[in-house]
Amino acid sequence: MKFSKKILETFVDLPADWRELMEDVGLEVKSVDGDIMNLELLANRGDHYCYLGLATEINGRAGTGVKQLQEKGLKYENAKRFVIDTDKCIAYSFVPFDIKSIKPAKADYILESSGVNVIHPAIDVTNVVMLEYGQPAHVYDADKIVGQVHIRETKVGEKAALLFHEGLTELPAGTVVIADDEKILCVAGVIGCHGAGVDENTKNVLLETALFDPVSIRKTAKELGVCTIASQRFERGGNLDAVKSGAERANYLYEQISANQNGDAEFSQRVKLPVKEIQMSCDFVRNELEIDISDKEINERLSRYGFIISDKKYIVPNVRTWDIKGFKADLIEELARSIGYNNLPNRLPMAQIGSEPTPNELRKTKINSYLVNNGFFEVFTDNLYSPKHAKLSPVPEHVKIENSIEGGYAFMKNNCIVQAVELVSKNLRVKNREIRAFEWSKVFDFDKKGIPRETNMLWGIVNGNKESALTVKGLLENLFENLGLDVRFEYNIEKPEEEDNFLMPKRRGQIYYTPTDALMGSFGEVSPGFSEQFDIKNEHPIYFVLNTDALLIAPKKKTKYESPSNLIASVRDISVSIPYGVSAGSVAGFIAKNYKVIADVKITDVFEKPKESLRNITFALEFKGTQSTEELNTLILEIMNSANEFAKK
Amino acid sequence: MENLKKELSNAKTTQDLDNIKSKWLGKKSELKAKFDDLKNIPAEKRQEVGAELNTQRVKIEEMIENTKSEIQKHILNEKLSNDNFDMTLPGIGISTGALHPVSVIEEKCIAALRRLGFIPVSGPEVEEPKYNFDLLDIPPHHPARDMQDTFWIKHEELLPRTHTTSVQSRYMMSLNGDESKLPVKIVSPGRVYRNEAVDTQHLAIFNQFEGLWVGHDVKLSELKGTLEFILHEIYGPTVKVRFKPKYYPYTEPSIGADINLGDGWWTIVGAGMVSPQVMKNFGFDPDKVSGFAFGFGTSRLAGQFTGASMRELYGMDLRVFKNIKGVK
Repeated sequence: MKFSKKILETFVDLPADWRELMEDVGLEVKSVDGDIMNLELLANRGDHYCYLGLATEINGRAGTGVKQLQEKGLKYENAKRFVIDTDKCIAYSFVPFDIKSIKPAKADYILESSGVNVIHPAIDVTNVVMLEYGQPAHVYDADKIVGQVHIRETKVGEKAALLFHEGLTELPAGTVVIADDEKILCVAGVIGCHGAGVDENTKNVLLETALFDPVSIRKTAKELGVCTIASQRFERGGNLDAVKSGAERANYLYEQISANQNGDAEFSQRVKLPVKEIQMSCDFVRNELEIDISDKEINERLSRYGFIISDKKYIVPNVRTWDIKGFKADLIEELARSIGYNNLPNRLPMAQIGSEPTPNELRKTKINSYLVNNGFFEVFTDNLYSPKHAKLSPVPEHVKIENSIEGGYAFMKNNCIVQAVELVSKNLRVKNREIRAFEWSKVFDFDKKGIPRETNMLWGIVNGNKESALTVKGLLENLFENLGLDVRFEYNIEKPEEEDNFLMPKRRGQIYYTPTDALMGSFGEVSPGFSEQFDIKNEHPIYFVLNTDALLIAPKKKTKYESPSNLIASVRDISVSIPYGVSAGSVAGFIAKNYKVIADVKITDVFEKPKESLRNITFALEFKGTQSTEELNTLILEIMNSANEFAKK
Repeated sequence: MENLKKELSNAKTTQDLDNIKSKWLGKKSELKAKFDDLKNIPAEKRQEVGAELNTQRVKIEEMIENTKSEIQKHILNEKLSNDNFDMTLPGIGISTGALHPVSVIEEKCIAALRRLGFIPVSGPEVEEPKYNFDLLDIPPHHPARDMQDTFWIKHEELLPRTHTTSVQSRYMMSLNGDESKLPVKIVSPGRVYRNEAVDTQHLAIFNQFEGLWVGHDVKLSELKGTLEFILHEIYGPTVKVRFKPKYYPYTEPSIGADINLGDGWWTIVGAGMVSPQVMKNFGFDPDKVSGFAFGFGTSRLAGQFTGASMRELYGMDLRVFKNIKGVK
């Protein structure tokens, strides 16, 4: 909010280091343009939204006093012209003025410096009072009001002709309005209406000052989508005292421009606000703030903010009743601000024992290191996505966002593959083809009772000239070996997970944690049909996804050290012709299963023969024990024949 | 010997040398024949002739070995000079990737706070208003709910959390007001969600890092000391730190910590003493138990450290992260 430094100085003396002081008391000076200061005010301090509030806050630190503005007292009578029909109006006042001879208000500078337009002298005075005292005020053309004014709540379907709005606007039921016998004159504390507005022909006005329930104002402003200086002030809680003092200041200002009171001032308070008292000893202050400060200084500093001190009780001023809850901590905060946080002691807590990372955290660190050392970049994608993303998802049900203002955040994501493939697409668009990325993410779905739940996932995506599903298989095999986890890879997937359906059936696998046989994750080459939806052509991204909870908590397998044998194992290669459609792994499995003399079978070479629809696979067989050359040769011949037979079948 | 010299000078390969060696020292060589003939030489001269033949053999062997060495050297030189390997081609191997800058900042903060005994805890991202707002003294229609514009999954029933303070609520409620479980020293890094318009510097989803210390007789001075300690750990010992008033519904007093690295003041941390009402809500007597809480916008810190915009940090362009890798 913008304020004039020159005008502020008519309320309080500013020191040379005024900017530093203001920031030190919570009045953040975002910028200064000549005389105009743009301030960022604390969200709970409605009292700061005026010169008097700023001056009081500055005086709380500086202690140089606040200069009082001139007011012209009013004698209030009971309300006759109006009736308060709702508890959402705490207090209300009407003062009638004759403005037939009104002159310009000489308020151009104070209004313009805060970005308020000069409109009509009678209205300008109300705006000045709001900027000076923080008390929103309003004037009605008294001759346009029909019958008695009621401060009441609207019924269902009631409409009003709001200022700056075309036609009639339906108001939510329960909105507090100021209405006469025929029409709604104003939406209380939020916005005026056509019908009783002041114009160049107005002769008599009714000045309104009031205090409304902040929650009610806030709801109305939000529901109507209207934010005015008055609503901003009221929704943070107004000042009961200013209902009268604001009117008296206006009375003075009107008199200065030849507008005179021409009837009884009326005031009514419908709701009695509780007087807040805080009991606190000065020893408590000294103990909490750890400073040597006298009782006198404590009381003197608190009195600058308007607290009344009475027998170790501190009575909260009306202007602060909304933000001071009534705890001793409230007063500690006032004193800390008055003294300055930078002037209070600062120390580290007494000697502490450090904490160690948990095994899960250490495992996560290990996984991070492994992936980073293998060229992966960690990314953070959004956990919310658009209807377009949702449509691409392998799972139709989504946790929906009711009120997203950005179309891109309509759903909570229920998969990772959509964004993973989108990442490939976006990088290909900028000619970055070599991709290795991963993310610790979450997916959201519903449990059996229909309640949203979240699952932690680790996903990754790989793309590039030399990458294939086997690259990712190798990466994952090594990862699990590094982690010491006993897992098995399955390629003949009988029950594919939803995301698996977007992977090529013969280029995908699932990973199971062997001790519990629980599914830990999947990987595979993304199906071209899915990639093409992201405009990916002639590329073969490979995706993996792991259930993080399982990954981080699964116990390591127990292994014992075995000394390497002094006997150098006999290793012999055999070549087997395997028709397309038969997996090399099945042949290796056949050999291992049927020949107990073999310690290990490794696939060492693949030679494709597409014309014959087969592959020549070289297996390196490691034999247990000691066989003679003749025995080995006989055995190898037998294995080769039986393996070829197996492959053909 | 002159013939041998001539033959050796014509030799180009080790095979040529093997042939020469065979001719001059082999079974059918002239020298071998002379050795064989030694038995026909009178005994008194046999030793002298034998010694002469041995001298000849050694010399021949020597000449052949010398030539062999030269030929090998020549072959090697030729091999090296004909080597067309191009060392200007790119190196082979996987270049390393990198953790996300936000993860790096989180790790740094956690490492610093572990020294004070803090432990990381996590909580759900889909949260109930009770933990996200109510326990933290943010009732419906409170202005603070504007500060944290909320995505609602179900209005006033379920939401993606607006701050990681909800994790602190859950943790404190799990203690059931049992003072024997104090002190609590936790940090909760994680993603948060705000329903607001997105631009290069503002995102709807970003990361926060919050801390909570609750115990007996915890003081404002200790909050200030802890914040200064963390900021020195992150920014180095020479960074200037100042404190100023702030407003958060769940702390009282509430403060902010600014840093100055020579280019003006930047607000980095929001913090405060846990408000008595919140302490009550957590099931503890605020006259006996006190504490402080603090929070960093780790996304903002990551942007500050790397120079990348928020949108870049939360985008999918891997070139951004490759370039950040080079930033010290």
